[in-house]
Amino acid sequence: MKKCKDFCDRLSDYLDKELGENECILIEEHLDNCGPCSLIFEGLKTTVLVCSKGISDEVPEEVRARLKQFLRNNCRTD
Amino acid sequence: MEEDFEFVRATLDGDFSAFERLVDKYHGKIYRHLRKMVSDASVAEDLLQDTFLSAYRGLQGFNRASSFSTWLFRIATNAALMYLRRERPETVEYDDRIMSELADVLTPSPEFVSTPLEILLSMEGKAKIEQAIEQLPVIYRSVVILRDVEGFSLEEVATIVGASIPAVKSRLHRARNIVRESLTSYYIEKRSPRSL
Repeated sequence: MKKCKDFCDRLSDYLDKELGENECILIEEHLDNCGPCSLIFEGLKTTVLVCSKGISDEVPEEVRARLKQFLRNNCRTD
Repeated sequence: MEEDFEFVRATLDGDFSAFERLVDKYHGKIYRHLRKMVSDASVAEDLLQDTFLSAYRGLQGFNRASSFSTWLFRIATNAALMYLRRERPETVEYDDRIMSELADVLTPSPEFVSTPLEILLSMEGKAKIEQAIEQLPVIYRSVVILRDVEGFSLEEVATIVGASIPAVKSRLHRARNIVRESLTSYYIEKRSPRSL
């Protein structure tokens, strides 16, 4: 009989669709019947979602300008 | 991806503007990755410049075994890790057993999962996410950024960080749970009556 921890150890792989069909079914059955594990899984999903949306990739204009100048100076003389 | 290969080919044929197109396309993502890896903005900028210069000088060796972005992120990641090992070795070392134990403390939190997305992604929420990621050991931080922020596949992450896929999965599992625990604690505290 698997414990909650055994299921929680597989949730990251489950989220990444890295598990086989049978293991997915076992996890889904467990999540349907276990409130705490279901909350942990929802928390993990939310974490991945906010990581994907919550971090800006804007570059300060001066950093961009210095990068371009640096490359013009150093690449073209190679 | 095919477009990147065209730019690479044109650069190798002497068209510097083609390389600048690649720089335009990827410098934001590379800078974000480096900022998260090393935290310090001026160091990240130096590493950003080094990354693209190394890419330009090593372009002949790019053999299409991976995508250009995977190849570029590998250069950037190696540059950041070399810097950290040289200047701040204590940030690179980590105790896998301790991290495993930390990740084993799992707190179910209705407070976190029921928080609306617009609050999670507000200025304050974003600052909390960034802080939670920055507090991870760098080896774990790199896989979360590459997989969950940049959206690389597990195989690509393994290529970039030079680790096996099982090692990447294991680090990702721990890192995600540590970030989740950090966010969970924050939103429990935020919703507690004392904080009202």
